[in-house]
Amino acid sequence: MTYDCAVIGAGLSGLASAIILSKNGLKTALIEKSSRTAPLVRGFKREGHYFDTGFHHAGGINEGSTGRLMLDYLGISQHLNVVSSNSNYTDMVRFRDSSFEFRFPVGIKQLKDRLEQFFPGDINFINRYINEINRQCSLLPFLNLNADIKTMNILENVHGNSLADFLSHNTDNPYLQSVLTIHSLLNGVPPGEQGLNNYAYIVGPYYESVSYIEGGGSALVAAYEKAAKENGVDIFLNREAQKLIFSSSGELKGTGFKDGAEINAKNIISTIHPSQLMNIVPENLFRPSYNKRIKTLDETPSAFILYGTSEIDLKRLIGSNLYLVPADGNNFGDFSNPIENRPINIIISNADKKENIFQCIFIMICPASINEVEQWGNSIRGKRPQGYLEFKDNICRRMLDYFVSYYPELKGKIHAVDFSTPLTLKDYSGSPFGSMYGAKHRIEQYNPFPMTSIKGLYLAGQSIVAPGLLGTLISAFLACGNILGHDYLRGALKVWNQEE
Amino acid sequence: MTDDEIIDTINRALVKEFELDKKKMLSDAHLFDTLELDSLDMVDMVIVLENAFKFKITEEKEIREIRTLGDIHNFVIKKSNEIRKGS
Ligand SMILES: Cc1cc2nc3c(=O)[nH]c(=O)nc-3n(C[C@H](O)[C@H](O)[C@H](O)COP(=O)(O)OP(=O)(O)OC[C@H]3O[C@@H](n4cnc5c(N)ncnc54)[C@H](O)[C@@H]3O)c2cc1C
Repeated sequence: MTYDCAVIGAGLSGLASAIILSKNGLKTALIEKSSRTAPLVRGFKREGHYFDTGFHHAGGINEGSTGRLMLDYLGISQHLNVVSSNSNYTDMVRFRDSSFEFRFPVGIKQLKDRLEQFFPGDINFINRYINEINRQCSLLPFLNLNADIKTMNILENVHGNSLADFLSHNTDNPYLQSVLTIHSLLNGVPPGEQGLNNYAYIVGPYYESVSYIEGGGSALVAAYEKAAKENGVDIFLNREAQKLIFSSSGELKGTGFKDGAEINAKNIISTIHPSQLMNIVPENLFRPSYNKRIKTLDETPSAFILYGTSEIDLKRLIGSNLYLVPADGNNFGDFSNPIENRPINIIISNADKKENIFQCIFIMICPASINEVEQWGNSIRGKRPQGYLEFKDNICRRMLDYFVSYYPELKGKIHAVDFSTPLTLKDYSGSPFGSMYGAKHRIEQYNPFPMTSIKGLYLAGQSIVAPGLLGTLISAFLACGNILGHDYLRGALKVWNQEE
Repeated sequence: MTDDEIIDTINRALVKEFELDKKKMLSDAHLFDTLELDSLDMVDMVIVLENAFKFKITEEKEIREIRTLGDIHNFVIKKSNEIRKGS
């Protein structure tokens, strides 16, 4: 089978990449090793309830944003009902050591006002912080369609200030520090390793507006699949790319599978974890320095995830998205800390009525390391030993207690329906390390670029630009820009915008 | 480190990490035409130099202007001198 392009991996990045290429007239094959596309974001049903997994909500996809423009251009938004934040759907931060809580408003200007109101002693710094977030976002091509793609200061960013340093030099207020670092959980980079630029790419769009999608991750994937079909993408499921194939003269020729079948394509976008790509290319394809860099990329944390129900209306009590901050603040880089000292994110999804009993559904995500379950790493899913099950039960119970310690009224009213550990994530996520968001986008680390030194081979995915719906969209546009022309593709988006 | 030692350290590190031909490691060797590197290799070059000399490179503009092996030598010698003076 011969195609113009092949895309390896049908997660959000791969789906977006394949649609862009196909839409622009290139015959494109999308190759996925699982039996379904985007296994990470499909969610699952348990005890009659639907639980989301790898997609709950996203910044930068509200009406008028660049992310929405991309979804429109790809023909995805027409199949979705995107619900953007209003005062009921925003983030709340709650602290252990006092009844202090901070609710994020909708909009970055509104956030500035609220921060000033809560932290009147830090007005100058708040102003600087907001300006810095806005400035960084304006420099990122595809967040700002007019930014110059060639002038990104890579070295300065890699060696830039950490978010934690920036804050500790400018304010002594631990509450303000926690409020302004809490979204580090969204890209899995602890504040001490988080670069200001990467943080801005996450929070800039997120502060502006948070949106959720009716029907959750499963509706999101269905819309991507529809758009892929409408644009003529050929999807190959249960197909694991095992090698890249090169012609005798060294040119990229395609990709091959276990059974010897091949797909020929001169352009390939790989959206799998970069370290996994290194396993399917010939050994000497890249120079030793690049090989080493990609194979030793530092990973984002994994997680313990509790899927639960509540007899109390958490939406009314809390809102939609809650962060519990432990007494020592948000540092989640040290996993010798018990879970009670780690910040936890609780997402309250829609309420359900089952057998006429009110049940509110929530998901609790606690950062964790794969090392915490390493001793059971070789056991097989479904047949894990008793010790592992006891460990799981223990962490699960402690996470419920953690929640109750912040909201005593929930005692006896919240229940776990399912619980996953880093081993579960390792099985279900695309990351070989069970990490939540692939390679870490942290200071002092050079993540791979969308282009490689191999002609025709490009990279997209959460490890390349940023995790999340918006990060994967931008990574897809950047990778495809190398094939179609960046100016052409950004131009097409701008024109699309004017015509709409 | 003397200038010669710096040059030697650079050449050895680049030969190893980029599998370059030792015989081609002359100051006027053009990185792209002679040594067959490309602009994407520049990030790895920066990393190799940072590890070999234990300093951080933030001089984006100067790095982008590097064309020959000699440019790399001069860049590192200059930077090492600045660091020595500064400390
Ligand atoms: C618990 C959790 C909650 C999250 N919540 C949110 C959220 O609320 N909002 C948000 O925006 N983001 C969220 N994210 C992040 C988001 O899910 C990811 O950033 C995004 O889905 C990554 O997409 P991707 O395409 O880059 O990678 P992946 O989805 O990992 O795609 C890679 C694909 O490649 C396939 N593959 C691997 N190897 C091969 C091979 N050799 N051949 C063929 N196929 C192969 C894999 O099966 C996989 O489908 C969350 C993530 C987690 C873990």
